[in-house]
Amino acid sequence: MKYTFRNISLALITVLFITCASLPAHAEQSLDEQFTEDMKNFTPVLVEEGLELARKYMLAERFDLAERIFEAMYAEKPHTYKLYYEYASFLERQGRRNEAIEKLETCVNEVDLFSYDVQVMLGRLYFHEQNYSKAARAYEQAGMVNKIYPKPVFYWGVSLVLQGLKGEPRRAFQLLEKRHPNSFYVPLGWSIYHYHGGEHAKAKEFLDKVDEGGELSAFYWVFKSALYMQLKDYDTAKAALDKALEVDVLYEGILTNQAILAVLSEKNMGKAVKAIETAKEYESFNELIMAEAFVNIRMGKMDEARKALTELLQDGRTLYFANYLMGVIFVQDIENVMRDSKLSSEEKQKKADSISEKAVGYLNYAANGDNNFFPAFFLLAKLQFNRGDFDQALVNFQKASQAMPDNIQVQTFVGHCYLKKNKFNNARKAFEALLQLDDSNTHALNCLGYISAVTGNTQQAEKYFKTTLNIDKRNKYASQQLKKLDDLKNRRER
Amino acid sequence: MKKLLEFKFGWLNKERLLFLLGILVLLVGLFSYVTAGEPNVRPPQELLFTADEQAMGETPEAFPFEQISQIQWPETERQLFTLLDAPQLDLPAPEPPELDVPLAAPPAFPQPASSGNKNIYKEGGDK
Repeated sequence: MKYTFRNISLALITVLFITCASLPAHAEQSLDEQFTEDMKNFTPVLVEEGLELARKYMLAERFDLAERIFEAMYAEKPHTYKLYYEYASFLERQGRRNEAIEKLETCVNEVDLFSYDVQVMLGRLYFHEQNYSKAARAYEQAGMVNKIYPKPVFYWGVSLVLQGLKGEPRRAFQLLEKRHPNSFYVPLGWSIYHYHGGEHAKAKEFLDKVDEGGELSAFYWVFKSALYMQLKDYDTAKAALDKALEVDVLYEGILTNQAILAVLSEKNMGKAVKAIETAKEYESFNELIMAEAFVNIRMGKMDEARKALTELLQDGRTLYFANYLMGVIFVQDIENVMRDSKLSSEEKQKKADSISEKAVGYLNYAANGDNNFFPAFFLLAKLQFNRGDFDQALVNFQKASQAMPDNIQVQTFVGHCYLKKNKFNNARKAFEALLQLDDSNTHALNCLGYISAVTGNTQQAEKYFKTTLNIDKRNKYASQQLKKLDDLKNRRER
Repeated sequence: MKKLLEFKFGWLNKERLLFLLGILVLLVGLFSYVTAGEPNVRPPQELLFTADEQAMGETPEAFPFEQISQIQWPETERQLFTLLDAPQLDLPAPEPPELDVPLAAPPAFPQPASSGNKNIYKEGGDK
């Protein structure tokens, strides 16, 4: 009796369990059956009806079935933009951005349908794919058709800026100003324009004009974070990113900038690596890949960085920072070759020459882009100086010194390039300029002493070397040269 | 050619001209033979001028070391100094310091696809 009762309860529990487990399967099966039935009655040409049906399956989270409905309608190429728009939105939500673009392009090119919604969506998709030239074209067309909203003209201008153009974005922002003088997009547009021209103070000035009490887009906050990162105000940048999250938690660019902020502000690279990993789960912006390569280079993982950058630059993408990082990696390769004890000096030189050609190629590109990227000039000049190409090194050091007139290293090497070329007057000027920046720079004093001595002004040379020794008593070069000058003096007196 | 064969200028006809030329060649040969020296013996050279002690004054000594700096060197002479005198000093140029190029920080999104940005450079560039 006891056992029978236990058996019965066990049997009951089993039945209950099986019933519960099979319930969703039943429901699903019934949805599948329903779908088969729906498709029997469905005419793909009737788009409104089809969209309604697709929505029903989307709500039931049966996206596979919804897609079959979209596909059936798409095969008919109906003459209404709504299908293309809805299908593309569906694909975008599924994370299939490229397919969404393909559908919208079909709508625009093949079916020859023009719609504001389609153009704006196409612009947005291209923008997030970082295909800024196509984004600009789509936004421009949207902006020409619909003059009510500021958004398309604004993004048209921003896309033009991000293409690296200078004149055209001005026209777009002027049009925006004319049509929507009170929109926050106007100062934001000008701020972005100046930001990419390297005029950060001006960019900040325009951004300050935006009333932050109003309703702002997530893009505003993302851009603000980028600007403040340049201004090294990481707290404001962080606050801007938090605001962006408040406005639109899914907005693309927030995680990328959070990761870059971590790279810039965290001393602990581990935290930066973690932030990059998190961002990579959802975003794949070029900036993120470059930031990861930067971290890998800093951590000495050259091969990983090289692989990622090669992929990034594969399809001819003209990213100045990626080119710069490739240059950095090749310069490191040269240093490794020169340190390799197994190679003879001839082999070293041969290898280093072939690598340095590649490095110069990448760095030249990074340095001489539309706006000059000065760290690349600096590295390029170093490479050329070490190769003995003093003419080219001088050109690049001078370009770097224009942007960094207060940089002591750059000034020092401008002087040394002239010294190598035996242009003592120019070298003297460079080292005198260096003394203006730092009057106790013993290296500059020694160089000036040397120049004075070899150009006949031995008294002046003595003075320079003595000044060096007043600052640094143990300065070997100054004491040795002073001794030599004394010897010469004694020899002549005898 | 015909004109040349029938050359005539007063009493000077073709045969007489050839005779005179022959005499001239003989004279030049004779002169060369007479004036030539013996093999390996050079004729004495003429002294073109003699030093005038008074005009030359004293032979200058080495330039006083202290005064070198006061010379306003013209560029060409300065270059000569650099070539001739500076090597005596045997001064090596100061070695350039190790050039430490810091890694530039990555740009944040959104960044132009093809161009650079001036102000990214920083992080211990100045030392």
